[in-house]
Amino acid sequence: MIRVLVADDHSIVRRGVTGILAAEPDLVVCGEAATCAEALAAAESVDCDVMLLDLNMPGRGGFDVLQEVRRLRPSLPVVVLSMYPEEEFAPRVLRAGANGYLNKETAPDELVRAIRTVVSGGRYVSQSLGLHLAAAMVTPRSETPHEDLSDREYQVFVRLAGGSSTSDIAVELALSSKTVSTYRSRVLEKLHLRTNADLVRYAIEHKLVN
Amino acid sequence: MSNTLRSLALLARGIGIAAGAFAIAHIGNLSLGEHGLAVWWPLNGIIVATLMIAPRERTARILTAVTAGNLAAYIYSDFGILSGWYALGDAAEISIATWGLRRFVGDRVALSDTRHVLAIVVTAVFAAIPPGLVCAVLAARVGHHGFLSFFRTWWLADALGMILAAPAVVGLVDLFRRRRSFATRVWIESGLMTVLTFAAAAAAMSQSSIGTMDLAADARYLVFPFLIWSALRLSPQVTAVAVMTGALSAACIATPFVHPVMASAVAHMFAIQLFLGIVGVTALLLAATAQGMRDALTRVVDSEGALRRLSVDLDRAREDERARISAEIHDELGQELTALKMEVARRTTDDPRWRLAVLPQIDRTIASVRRLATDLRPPSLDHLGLPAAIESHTQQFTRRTGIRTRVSIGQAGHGVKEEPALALYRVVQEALTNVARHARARSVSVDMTEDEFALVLEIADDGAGFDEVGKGQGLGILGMRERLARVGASFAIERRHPAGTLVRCRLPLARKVAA
Repeated sequence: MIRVLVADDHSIVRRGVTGILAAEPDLVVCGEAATCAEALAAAESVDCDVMLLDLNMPGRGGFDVLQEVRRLRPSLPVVVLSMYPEEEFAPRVLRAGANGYLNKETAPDELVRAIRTVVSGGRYVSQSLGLHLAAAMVTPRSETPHEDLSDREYQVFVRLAGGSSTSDIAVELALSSKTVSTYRSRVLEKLHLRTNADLVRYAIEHKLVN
Repeated sequence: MSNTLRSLALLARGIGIAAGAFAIAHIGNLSLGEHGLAVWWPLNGIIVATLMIAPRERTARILTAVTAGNLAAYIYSDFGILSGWYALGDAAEISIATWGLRRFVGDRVALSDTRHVLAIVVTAVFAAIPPGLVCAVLAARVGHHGFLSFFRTWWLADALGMILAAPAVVGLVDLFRRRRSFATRVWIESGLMTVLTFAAAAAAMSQSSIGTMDLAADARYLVFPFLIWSALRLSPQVTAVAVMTGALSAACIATPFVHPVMASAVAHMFAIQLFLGIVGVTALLLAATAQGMRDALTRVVDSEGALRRLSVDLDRAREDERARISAEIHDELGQELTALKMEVARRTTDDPRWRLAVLPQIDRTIASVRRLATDLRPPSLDHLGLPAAIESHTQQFTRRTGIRTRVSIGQAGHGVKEEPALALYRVVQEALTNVARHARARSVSVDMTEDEFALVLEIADDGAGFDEVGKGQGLGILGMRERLARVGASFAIERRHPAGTLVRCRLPLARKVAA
């Protein structure tokens, strides 16, 4: 028997979730919460196996609740249910410690699967998000990633490759040294490089400096 | 009893006015004898101004008293049979001038209005013509004077007298009524003006003959810079009083003692009067124009402030409204639809028609509701912070328009407060909308960095450049500027070389200084 804690401020959504879970003989709703405070209290006191959490509840906001639950009960699997766009929110929610992310309207099809997956120790994302993430990963690494550099990144990159120091570049572009350093690290990340020597080599290979 | 008393008081006042008029006219006639113009030439002007200031129903009484005083003075000065005609001529002149002024400006003369100043000049010039002609004919008949020289004397002296005296009286009464206390600067400058006009007029009158170069006499032109100075800096009332008082007192004090028996005394005085009249009119017109410009400027500044406050209010109200509607759509409509879908899905698991037709339709509805709410107020801005919100907006922009975005944001601006974050986000939205609409750009670069002092956001495209785009963008740029100014950020837009537009915003960050 899997006990589910449902935290959502809309009673109709809680009712809908309960209805879906009722069709499964081994799933049962063991508690409900309608605010952030209630959700935290329930997470601490109610004996449950998985928590369904809405991101937008009255109170401190879903992200805080998620982090607090992680701190209070590190082993409790949490599936975030939200109305917000999946592509934007799911990666950040998962990074913040959730075990799964579901858009509310996909709940009927995937809710049960998601609960079973996270309870058995896995992580769950919807099929469409999975495809999206996979596509992003398998996209062949561009031959010319420098074309994706922003204007400032490109300016800093070309000057670093040409042998200028951070402070020279700062003076020349009328930026602070700190800002130039920031751009330098963003360039290294975007081009998958580690050192200034790598930068120079990259620039020569792509004929970006003489 | 009280009626009798009131009548007595009235009579006393009438006699007082008559005595005043007599005194001024008599002193004048005594001082220059036959050419007795030196002092009383401003008299008619003073009376016209008094009539304009006093209630209308007193016009007849004041006019009667003045005419009586004038008549006495003429008789006393041995004008004989002509005294009556001259007094009548003065009364006619005063009546015509008052009637004309009332027609032009109504009951109240405002020296801050150039049309009123011009009305004074025009009525003064024309009012003196008809009685001057009549009296000149009479004087010529009796053989007292030549027709032309008499008319010229009468007309010029009275017209110029009125031009100088009437504004002085009006200005003085205006200042007195308002009981304004002036700054020291005003006292000094108006005092200086009075003294200088007086000195210039006196210098002109000490001139030995007309038409010779005379350093002392030509020094009178020094009055103009000071006249312009005070006309531009002081109120029209103060200027009128200062200039006119200086001019009139110089004329009244100096003339009788300088050339009482000179052959050319009359011609000499005309020259002085003309000079003083030009000085006076110049001062009045300049002061009125300057006041008009000051008033207009004040109105512009006021209305600009009001418009700015209005735009701030409207903008804030619009953002609040958007946030509220967006939340409402998310919380009510969105959740209801979600619950509906859960319910429908649960009950129709086996029916393929429902699975294939109805459920996708509900999905599409939910998607458009979400898009609507996100457009109104992006949830990422409130939940994920400014960098994430901008990044996701640029991704949507690329998907929608096909214009490549090159973004460099990192975590810059993550901790920015709600209002500036919203302002910067809206600027990104507006700038990208402009790029899509006008720029014909191939790619857009969005840079955001943060250091100890400021958050800097730069949006650069490689499109047409902003001066080649339509007028509609002007409002957008103004909107961005206002929005940023409100949260303390600066905004700049410039053309790039060889092509494109760069929008740059800088939000100063208040950081705690380490002790």
